[in-house]
Amino acid sequence: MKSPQSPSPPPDQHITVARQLLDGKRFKEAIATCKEALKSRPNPPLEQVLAQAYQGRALEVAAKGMFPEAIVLWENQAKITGQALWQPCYVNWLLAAGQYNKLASQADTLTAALTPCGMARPVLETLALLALNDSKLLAQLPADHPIVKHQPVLLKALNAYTRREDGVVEDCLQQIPSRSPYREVRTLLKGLLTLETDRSAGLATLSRIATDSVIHPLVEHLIRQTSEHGIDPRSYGQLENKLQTLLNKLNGYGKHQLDLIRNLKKINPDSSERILFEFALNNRQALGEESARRYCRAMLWAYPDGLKLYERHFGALPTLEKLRQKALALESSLGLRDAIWVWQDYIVELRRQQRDEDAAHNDLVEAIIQRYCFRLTGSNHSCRTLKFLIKSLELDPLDKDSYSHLISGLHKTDPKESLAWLDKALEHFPKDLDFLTQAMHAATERGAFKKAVGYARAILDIDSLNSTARECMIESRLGHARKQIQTGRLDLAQQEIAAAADLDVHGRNSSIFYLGGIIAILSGDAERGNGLLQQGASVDRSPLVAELLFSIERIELGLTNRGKNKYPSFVDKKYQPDRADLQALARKLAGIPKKLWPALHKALATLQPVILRGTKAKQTSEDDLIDLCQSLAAVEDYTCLRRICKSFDYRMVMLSVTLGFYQVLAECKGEPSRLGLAEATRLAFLKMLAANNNDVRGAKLITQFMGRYYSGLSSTDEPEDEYDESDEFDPDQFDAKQIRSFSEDKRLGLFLREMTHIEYMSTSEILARLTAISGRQFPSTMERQDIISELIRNLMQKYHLDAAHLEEYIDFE
Amino acid sequence: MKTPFELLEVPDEADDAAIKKAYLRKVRENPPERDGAAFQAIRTAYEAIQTRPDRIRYALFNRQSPELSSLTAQALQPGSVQRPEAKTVTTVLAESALATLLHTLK
Repeated sequence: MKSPQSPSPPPDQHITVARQLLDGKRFKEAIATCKEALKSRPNPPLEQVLAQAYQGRALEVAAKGMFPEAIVLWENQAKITGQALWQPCYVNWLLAAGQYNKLASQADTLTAALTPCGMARPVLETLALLALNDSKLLAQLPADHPIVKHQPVLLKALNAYTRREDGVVEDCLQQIPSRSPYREVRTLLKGLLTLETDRSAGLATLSRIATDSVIHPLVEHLIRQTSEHGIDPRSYGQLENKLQTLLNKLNGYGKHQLDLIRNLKKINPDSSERILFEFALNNRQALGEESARRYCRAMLWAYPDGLKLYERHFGALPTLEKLRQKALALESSLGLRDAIWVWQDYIVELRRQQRDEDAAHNDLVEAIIQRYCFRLTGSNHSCRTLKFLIKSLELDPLDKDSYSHLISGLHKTDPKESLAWLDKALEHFPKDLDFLTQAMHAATERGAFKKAVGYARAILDIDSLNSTARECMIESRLGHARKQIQTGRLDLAQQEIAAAADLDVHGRNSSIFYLGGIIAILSGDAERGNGLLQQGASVDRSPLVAELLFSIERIELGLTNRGKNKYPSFVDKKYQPDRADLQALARKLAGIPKKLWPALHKALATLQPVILRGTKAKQTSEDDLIDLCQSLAAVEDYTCLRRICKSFDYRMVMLSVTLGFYQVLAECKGEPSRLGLAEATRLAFLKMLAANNNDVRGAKLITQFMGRYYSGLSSTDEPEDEYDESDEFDPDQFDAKQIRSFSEDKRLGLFLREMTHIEYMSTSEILARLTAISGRQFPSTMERQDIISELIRNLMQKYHLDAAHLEEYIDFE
Repeated sequence: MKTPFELLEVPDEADDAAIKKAYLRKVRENPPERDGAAFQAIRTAYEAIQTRPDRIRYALFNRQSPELSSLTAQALQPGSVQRPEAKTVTTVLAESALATLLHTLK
């Protein structure tokens, strides 16, 4: 930018122009303008402007690192203004420019100038330290300056320290007074001397150095890097080379350690296992042979390729250890199935090497490995995996987890075996609440009421507030009472009822009243009987629930309304259940024990018309219906569920994934194997709808059910593959000929599986898949739903499925 | 990272009683209210090798990668001090002081 040119403007105009340039931070031009104007005649106001311009320009060039230029400009402004030259910024520039002599020559002036801002001491201390290596600087100082007086003494002390003349060092240090600029160096030297005989005392001496001393940061490094643990490799690498050399000396490091430090600099947090392994191997002399060997051995599972190197340098690994390392390496690379086989090889080798005295120990080792193998399978409860646990318990019967897995794993497939393991678990853990509770439930389920009461008592002995045990005792008493009623021993039945009533301190169990009422009616006391039944109904609160539970009791006991005994009904034919009734029914259904389900199903069949009136009522919400469906599915009454689902309003079902799911569930009676093409296709679409609507509950229900469907398919068509945890699906694994040869079920399964994958694909991925299947190109502007619809049609063709079932869903989507 | 045996300062073949004794001693030295992290490390170490089955499990399945720093720390433990040259000391002092002062003046 050009400076404004004017041949001879009046003085005031010069000032105005210069001020404008100054305000615009155009210092260089302002200086030129002022200088030009001042050539002709002196002008004090303009000189002040020039001083300001010098000052501004000095700061400007200093910011660019041009310290000598900044120094000159600053000195110029000081000459004009007569103000103090020794500002901290000026000292800073002198130091940065290496003009120490200028500082030294004005030592007294700068001390006076910098004392108010607290900078005199650090500047003098720095000058003193610079003077140790700079005789010219020393020559600039006044002859009586403390630096001049004490520098030779300190240098003598340092040289004596190097030559190990400790007496001379002590003498010299005593000559340095506590007000000397070298006082902190005196302490430092004392600390270094002490470090040799007592490292912690030496470090303590160093820590006494003042925190406001300019050598304090250095001392902090010394303390951190010369502790009894040696250097800290992470921060050491960032230090200056000369400081590193000093630290190496103070730590007494030899060649191997210095090599180690040099090599350590090449290691970073992201270094691979191979680099770390080779580092330990190559530096084993410095690290120590045994330490390096242990380190490398511990790294082998992460770097299995290092085995050869390891054996070359440290000798052959024992066979067992090799197997262990191999298994751990396989686990880390997720080859879990292979890892299990290697662990089994380990056991074989362990037994092969076994001496008599090792037998008991090896039994425990094998048991632990077998349990570990079970865990490697993902604690999958299949016959093959449970064998690991059975074997482990044969060798070491004291493992609760193994029993728990066996009991729950065998519960569905082999209930008798499950119970046998429960008995074994109780043999070893007779006071374990989990096992006692499971035994109590199992005994109740199979009608062994006395046993159940025994287990419940044992639980209450340990945990007197255990409500499950108390409930179980009540149910056992009631179960026994039912048996006595059936055999006509009403007095004994009454005793059981009384015992149950004693246990039911809050009077919440309506069955006690219903059974009491039945006993009274059967004994001929209808009035008392009816009174007890009404009490039961008031406990249940809902007439619908009361009718259901009372019906179950009558069905269980084989009692009818025919003959001399008449039993009351809590709901008449026109009874209209409200929302509270339906909600209470859904809650109650979930708590009815499995052994009562046959009676429950019969009772529900009778009550169906009443329930349907409730489900059709306007005030009944979708959540009420879902809760009821969920409870009916839980007690496996698919007949009632189907009737109720059929009664749903069409629009409601089309919009609710969960209700739609229960419709499908009712149609196939809860069995995935009964899933027809129409239902399976509908489920696939419901799942997509759930994904679109973010309906987590609906999606989860369908996923679980479809998971059972897929596992059913694989168990019949494919070999057992229990250890394969991956769920990789290759949609092109079968060619057209193979697909044609598959059963309809299998084709449907593959179709649904591919459909499930679609929902996780991006639109472009779906389009690419559609292009691949159809062999045609589609515009990239197509809507996602259109692409999906087109893809579904093509998939139906690919898997030879009837598209007629799909049309309405595709339109709906 | 130290092994549980190293942390509790017990030999690899120590039995349940010895390990428990070492654990209690370590807890006394590092109570949780003073140094929570140290106490937690001691507790974790104890749980890893508390019983014989635990020790077998640790010996068989432990896959904790050893830390390089703990390996090098032993090798880099200081030996006898070698006195540096006076020139080295004075140079380090001057450079360090200058760097500190410049940093302060900024």
